[in-house]
Amino acid sequence: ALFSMQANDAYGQRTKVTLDLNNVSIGQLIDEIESKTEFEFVYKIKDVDLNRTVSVKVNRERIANVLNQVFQNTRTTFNLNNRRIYLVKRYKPDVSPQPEKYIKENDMQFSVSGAVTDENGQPLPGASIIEKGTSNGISSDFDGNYSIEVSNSDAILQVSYLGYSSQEIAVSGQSTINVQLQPDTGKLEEVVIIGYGSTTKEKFNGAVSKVDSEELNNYSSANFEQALSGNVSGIQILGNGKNPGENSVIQIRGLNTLTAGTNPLIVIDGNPLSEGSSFSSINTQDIESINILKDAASAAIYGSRASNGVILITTKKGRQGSLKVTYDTYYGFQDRIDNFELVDAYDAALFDSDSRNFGYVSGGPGRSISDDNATRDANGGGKRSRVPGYLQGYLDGQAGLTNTNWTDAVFRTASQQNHYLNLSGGTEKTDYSVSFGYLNQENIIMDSDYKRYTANVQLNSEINDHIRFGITSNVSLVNSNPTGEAGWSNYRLSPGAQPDPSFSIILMQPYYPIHNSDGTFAIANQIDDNNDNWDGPISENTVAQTELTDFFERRLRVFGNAYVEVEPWNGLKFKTSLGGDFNSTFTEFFAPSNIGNYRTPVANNRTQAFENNARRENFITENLLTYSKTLDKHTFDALLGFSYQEESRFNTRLESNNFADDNLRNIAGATNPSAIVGRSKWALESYFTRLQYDYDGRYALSGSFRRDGSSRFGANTKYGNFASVSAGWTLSNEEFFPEDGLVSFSKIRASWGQTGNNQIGDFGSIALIESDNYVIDGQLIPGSYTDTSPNPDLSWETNTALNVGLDLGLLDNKLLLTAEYYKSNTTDLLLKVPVPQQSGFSESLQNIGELENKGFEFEIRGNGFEVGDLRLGFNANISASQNEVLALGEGQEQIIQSNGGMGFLTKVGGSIAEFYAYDIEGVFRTQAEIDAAAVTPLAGTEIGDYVVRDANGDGQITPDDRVTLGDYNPDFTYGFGFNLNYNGFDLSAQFTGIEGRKVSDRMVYYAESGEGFFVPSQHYFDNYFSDRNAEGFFRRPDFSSFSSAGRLTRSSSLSVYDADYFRLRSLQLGYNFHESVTEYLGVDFLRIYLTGNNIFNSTKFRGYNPDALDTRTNNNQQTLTRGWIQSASPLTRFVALGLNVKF
Amino acid sequence: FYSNEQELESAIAGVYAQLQDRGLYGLDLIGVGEISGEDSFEEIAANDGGRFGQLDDFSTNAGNDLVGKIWEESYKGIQRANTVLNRITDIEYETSVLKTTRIGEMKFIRALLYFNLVRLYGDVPLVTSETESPFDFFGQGRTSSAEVYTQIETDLNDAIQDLPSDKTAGRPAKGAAQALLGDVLLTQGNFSGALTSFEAVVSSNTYSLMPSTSEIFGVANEGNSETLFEIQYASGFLVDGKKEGSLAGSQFRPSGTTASAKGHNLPTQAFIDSFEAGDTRLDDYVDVDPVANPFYFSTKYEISPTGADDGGSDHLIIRYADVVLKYAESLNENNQTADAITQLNTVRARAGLGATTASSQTEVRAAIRLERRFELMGEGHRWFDLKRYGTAVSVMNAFFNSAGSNVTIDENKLVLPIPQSQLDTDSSITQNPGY
Repeated sequence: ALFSMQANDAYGQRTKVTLDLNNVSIGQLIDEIESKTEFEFVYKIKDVDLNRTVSVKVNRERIANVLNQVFQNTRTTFNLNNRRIYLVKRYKPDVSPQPEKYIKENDMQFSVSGAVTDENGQPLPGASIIEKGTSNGISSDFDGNYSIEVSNSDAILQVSYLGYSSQEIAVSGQSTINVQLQPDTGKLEEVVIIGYGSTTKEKFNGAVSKVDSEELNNYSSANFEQALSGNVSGIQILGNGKNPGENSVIQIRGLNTLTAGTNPLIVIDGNPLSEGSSFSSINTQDIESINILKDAASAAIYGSRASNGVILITTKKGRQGSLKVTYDTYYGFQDRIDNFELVDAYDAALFDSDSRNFGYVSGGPGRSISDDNATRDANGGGKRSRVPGYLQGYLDGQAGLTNTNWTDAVFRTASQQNHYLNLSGGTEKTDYSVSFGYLNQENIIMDSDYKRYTANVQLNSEINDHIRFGITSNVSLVNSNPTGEAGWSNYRLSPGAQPDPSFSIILMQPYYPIHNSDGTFAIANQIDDNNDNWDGPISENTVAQTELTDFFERRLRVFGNAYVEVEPWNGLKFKTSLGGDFNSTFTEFFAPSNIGNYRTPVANNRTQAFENNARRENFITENLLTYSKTLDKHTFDALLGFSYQEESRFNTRLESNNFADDNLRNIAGATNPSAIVGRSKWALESYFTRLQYDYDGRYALSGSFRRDGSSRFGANTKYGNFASVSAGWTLSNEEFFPEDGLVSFSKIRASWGQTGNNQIGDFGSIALIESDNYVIDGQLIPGSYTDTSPNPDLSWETNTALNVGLDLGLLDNKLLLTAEYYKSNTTDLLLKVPVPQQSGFSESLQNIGELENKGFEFEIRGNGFEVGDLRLGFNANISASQNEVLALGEGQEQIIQSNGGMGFLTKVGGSIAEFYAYDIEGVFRTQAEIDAAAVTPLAGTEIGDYVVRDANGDGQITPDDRVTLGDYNPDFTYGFGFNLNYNGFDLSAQFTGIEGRKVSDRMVYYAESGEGFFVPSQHYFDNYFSDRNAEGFFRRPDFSSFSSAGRLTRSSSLSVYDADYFRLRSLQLGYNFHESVTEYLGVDFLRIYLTGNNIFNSTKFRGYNPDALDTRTNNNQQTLTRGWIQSASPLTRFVALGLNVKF
Repeated sequence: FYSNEQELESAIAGVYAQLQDRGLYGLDLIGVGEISGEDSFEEIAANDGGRFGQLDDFSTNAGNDLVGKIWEESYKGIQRANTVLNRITDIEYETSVLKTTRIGEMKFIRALLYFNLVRLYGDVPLVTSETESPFDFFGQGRTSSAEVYTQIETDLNDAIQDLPSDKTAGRPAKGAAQALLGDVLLTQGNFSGALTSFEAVVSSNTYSLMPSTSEIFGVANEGNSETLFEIQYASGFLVDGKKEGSLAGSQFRPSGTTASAKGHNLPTQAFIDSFEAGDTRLDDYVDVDPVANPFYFSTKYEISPTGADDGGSDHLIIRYADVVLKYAESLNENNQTADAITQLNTVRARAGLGATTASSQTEVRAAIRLERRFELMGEGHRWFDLKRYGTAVSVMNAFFNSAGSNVTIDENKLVLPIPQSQLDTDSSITQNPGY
C-alpha cells in the first residue's frame, strides 16, 4: 500500500497519501483517492468542475494539503469529516474585518459536524460556518449539514446566514454541533438595505427603521403601509380612504413642506415608483422587508425626490435549497368601532321641531312658536318654517312609527379572505421565488368590495463567476366596486364625485323607510315630501341609490425589472437594469334615471354615465458601477451611478347624460358622449456617487452626491445637486471598551444631508393655458386663459437635515436601544399660497420661505430572552416632531387657508396649519345676557348664539379675536409590543397611540352644527341649549334663519376635536403543531393562528377615524389645512382565523 | 401661446367665458343687485350658507361666500382682459380693424367689471397691467374709487373709439360702450355727461324696443334688437366636462318647483301686488306654481331639461329698455322733463299701459324710478338704482319698518364688506367701516 492508516477518530487528519498523477481530471483524481484510501467524497456535481485537469505529485502528504493545493483558487472547497470529504461551494466571506491568519494544516486538530436549521427546523443550505478569528470556513450543504476542521477542540464557531442572527458556539470538545438560527430581529449584523446597495446596521451611520415580513403580517390589510403604524418610530400612517386598497399617507418625521407633495419615495427592489402610485398593488406577503430611510444623509442618494424620506421595499427571494411551498390563508370579519352616532327618529323629531320653530321665530317680527303652518306661510316663513305634521306622532311617543337606522343600513360586518401561495427554492447558481395571492375584501360600507389577484416572480442566476442576471416581475389585477367618496348624496359627472352612503346618512331622515312594504326600494319619498311640503334635506334614499347605480373599477398593474451584473474583477461590479411600471385603470359609473338625485326628483333625473381610462407608463434604466476593497483594516465601498426615468400619463374620459333608456347600462349606450383627454409627462435624469469607508469596524465614514435634472422645473433651474456626509464611531470595537460589561455594543453617529422635493405636478414652471369656452349665437367658441403664472426659476425644495444617533446593545445585544435627534430646514419652499386676488390669481406657486422641523425618536427592542421554555421579545418606541415656519413669501406674514369653513393659520414663528377660529365660552341664553354683555358681541347675535371669548381684550368681538387652537401634528406618538413563544404557542401584540392631535371633521361638524339640515348626532342632541335643556352648551338649532353671528361661529373651538387615541393595533395568537403531527401529515410546518386588528381602542374622538386626512384634495389643501377630515371611513376591528403550511 | 391671431381670439373668448361664472353673471351679480333691494327676497335665508339670505336683512359678513366670489371672479376677468390688452399690440391681425375692435371689447369688459366692483365694495385695488408676479401685489392696498372711476371712463372712451357701430352677436358695439359710460356718469351724478352718452345711443338708431314684452327674453328671442350687451348661455353643450348653461333658471325658482330650485331672488308679494292693471309684464315676466310653492318667480331665465346648471337664457347686461329709461332719467335731471316723459311712455306703451300721469320733474323722477322696477325686475338692477338715487338707506329702512322688521341700515351698508380671505391674505387691504 502506498499509504498508511491509523485507526483513529481523526482518520482524515492523520492520513497521508502519495499520488503521482499527470493531467488527470478531477473526476479521475477523486476515483483514485477513493480507491486508494477509505476516504469517500460527497459532492454535488454543480459544485465541482470534474473535468478540470490537474497534475498532482505528492509523497505522504496530508490529504488536507493535497486538497488545498488541488482546489486552490477554484470555487470549490472541502471539508474533512473523518473518512468523508465534502466538496462544497467555496464560501466567500463578504468583507472580513479581521486580518487573515495563516492556518497551518498541522493546526487542524479537531473536526466538528452537524446541521444548520432555521427557526422551524428546516435545513439552511449555504449557511456559513467560520472558525472564529480565522479565515477557515465552509458553507453548509444542500441539506444544511456541515463539517469543519478546526484548530483545536476549544475553537469557537461562528454560524451565520443572511437574514438570521449569527451565533457563536464554543466547540468545547463536542464533535457534533447542531445549530438552530433565529431570524434576525434587530441584531446589529442585520442587513440594512440602503439606496443602490446594502450594508449592515453596524456600519450604517444614518437613521433607518426596518420592518420585516413577520411584523408586517401581524396586521391584515390590503395595504402594506397600514402595518407600519406603531411599529417604528418617526412614522405616521395617515389618511383613511373609504375603499379597501386606497392609499394612506406615510409621513416620515413630520411635515417638511407646506404645499408640495408629502409622499415619501417608494423604491421596490430598486425601482423608484412615481409618487401617488397605488401601494395596494403590492401584496404585503410578498414583502421580505421594508427599510425606511429617515435621515437626509441616507436619503440624499435619491436626490430631488427624497425629502419626505425613502421607503425601500425588498420582495421575497428564493433561497438555495429544494422547492419550498408555503401556503397562508386567513378568513375574518371586519366591523366598525368608531364613536359616530346619530339620533333615532324620536329624538330627531324633537330636534326638527326645535330647529324649525327657532328658525321661524327668529327669522322675522311678530312670529310665535304656536303659529300653525298656514300662519307661518302668511308671515313669509317659507317652507323651512313649516313643521311637518308627522312629527307629532314621534313627539307624542307613539310606538311603532318608522324609525329607520340608516347608519346600520349602510354599514355591515364585512368579510375578508386571503390566500397566498409561494414556491421558492434554488440551486447554487439560481434562486427563484414565485407567488400568487388572492384577496377578497368586502367594504364595511354597503355594496362595495375589492378583489385583488397578484403574482410575483423573482429569479436570479449566475451564468458564471463573473456574470449574474435576474428579473423581478409583479402583476396585480384589482376588480373593485368602490364606494363613492363625494359627500353629498348627489352624483355628478366628475371623477370621485359619486354618492357616499357613509356620509349621506346624516342627510337621511329616520322617518322614511328604506323599502316599501312589498320589498321594493322606497324611492324618492324624502325628496318628494321635502320638495312638496317642507324643504329639508332633499336627498334620495341612499341605500337605493347605492344599490341601483353601478360603479366599477379595474386596475391592472405590471412592474418589474431585469438586470445583468458583471464582475470583471474581484470587487468591481457593473450592474445595469431596465425596469418599467405600467398601470392601467378603467373606471365606469352608471346611474339610471329611475331614481332621484340630490334635490332632483325622479321625474327630472337623467341617466348619467362616465367611463374613464387612465394609463401610466413609467420606464427606468439604472447603471451602477461598484467597487469594494479591503486593505488591511481599511474597507472601501464605492458607487458610481446613472439613472434615467420617465413617465407618461394618458387619460381618456367619456361622459354623457344623454341616454335613450336605462337599460343601456354603460357609456356605450349614450348618444354623443363628451370626451375629455389628458396627457402628462415627466422625466428625471440623475448622476450619483457614494463612497463608504470603514476602519477596523471602529470608524465609518460615508459621503454621497447626486445631481438630478427634472423636467418639472424651470429652464434656469433644471439641475440640482444633493450631497451628504455621515460618520460613525463604534466605541464597543475600541480596545478600551470593556469586553464583558453590560453594554455589548455602542455606537454614536451623525449625518448631514440635503434632499429635494419635486412633487409639484408636471408643468408647474410654465404658465398653463386652460380652456374656458364661450358660446356665441349657439356656436361654441374655444376660449382660453392663463391659469397659472409662469416661473422659469421654479425649483425643488431643498431640505437640509442633521441627524445624530446613538445605538446601544445590552446583554449581548439582546436589548437594543436607539435614540435619534434630528433637525431639518426646508428652504425654497414650493409655496402655493393665497395671493392678493387683484393679481388675477387666487394662489401662486413659488420657491420662497423656510421651514424648520425637529424631533427625537427613541426605540428599544429586546429579543431572545428566555425563561425556561418561554421566549420573549418586546419593543417600544416614542417619537415627537415639531415644526416652525421661519419665513413665507415676500410681504407675507401669514397664510390663512380654510377648508369646509374651518380656518387654518400658518404664520411665521408658528406651526403649520394651526386651527384658527373663535373660542367659544358659552351660549347667550337670554336677551338680557346679550344686552348686558361687557364685550360687544358679533353683529347680529341672537339668543342661542355663542358667547365668543374676547381674545385680544378690546371689548368687542372682531375677526381679530380668532385664536389658534392646536394642530394635527401630535405632541408625540408611541408604540410598544411584545411577542412570546412557549411550547409551540406564540402570542404577539402591538399597541400604538398618539397624544396632542387636534382635528376637525366635516361629518361631526355638520352633525353638531344644529343647522336643522343634518340629522344631529346624539352628542349634539343631548347637549344643545333649548327649553328642555337650559344648561346645554351647544347653540340652539335653527333651520331657516341663522344669524350672521351664528354663521361666523359656524366653525369654532367647539368644532376642533381632541383626536388622541390608544389602540391595540394588532394581536396574534398562533400555535405551531408539533413535529409528530407535521410528520404524520407529511408537511414541514403547520401553524394556525387567530389574528386581530384594533381589538382595543380608546379615544374621545366622536368621528369615524382620527387618523384620517383629506387625501383627495390637492397638496396645499392637505398641508395648509391639515387636520380637516373631509371624508373618512370608520375605524374597524378585524378578527380572522388563519392557517400557514409549509412543505 | 398668445402668439397669433387665432390664439388671441381664443384668449378673448376666455374673457367672455369668465363673465359666465357663477360668481358674476351666472348668479351672484344678479342676486346681489336684486335681493339687497326691497322687491326681491331669498326664500330660505339659511340656504347655501346664507350667501343670499344675508343680503336680505343686511347681515352680510366678510366671510359670506358671495362676497368673496364676486371679488375673486371679477379680478380674474380683469386679469384675463389685461393679458389680452398687453399681448395684442404685438400680434398681427389679418384685418387691423378687427384688432382695434377687440381692444375696444376688452376695455369695455374691464370697465364693466371695475364699475361693478367700485359700486359693490367702494375703494378697490386697481390693476390694469398683466401680472408678472402675484407677489407684487402684497401691500398694494385699495385704490380710491375716484381713481377707479377715472380708469373706467378712460377705458370706455377708448372703447367708444375702438368699437364698430354695428352690433355682432355676443359682443359689445359702440352703443354698448356709450350706454355703459352713460350709466357710469349717471351714477356719479354727471347728468349732462350721461345725457350726451345716452343720446348718442338713442340717435344711432341701432337698437330698438321689441314690440312686445313677450319677445325680449327666452332662448328663442336671443340677440334681438333690444340687446346691447348680453352674456351668452346655451344649454346642451358638454365639452371638456364643462357646460355652457346658467344656474339662474333653476336657482331663481321657489324651492320644490324644479330640480335644484333654491328660491333665490324671488319677487315679493307686495311687489307683485303693485303692478298696474293691464301691465303685460306681469304675465310675461312672472309666473307662479301654486301647488308646489306659492311664491312667484321671474321667467326671464329659463330652465333646461339638460340639467339644473344648464339653463340656456342669456343674461342681458344692457338692454334698450334700460337705456331708454336711463335716458329719460338723464333728460329729466337735465330739466328736459317733457322729453323724459316721451321716453318713459315708449316703455309703458310697450307694456300695454297708457301714458304716465306724472308731469312735474319730481313726479316724472318718481314715475321713471317706478317704471324701472317693473321693467327690469329680477335682472339685478334695483339695488344699484337705489344707490344711484341716493335713497337706498331711506327706502330700505321704510321697507323694513312697514314689514315690521327691526332691521335698520345706515350708509355703511351701501357697500359690501371686503372678503375676509383678502384681509387675511394681505393686511394692506382694510375692511369697510361698519363691518
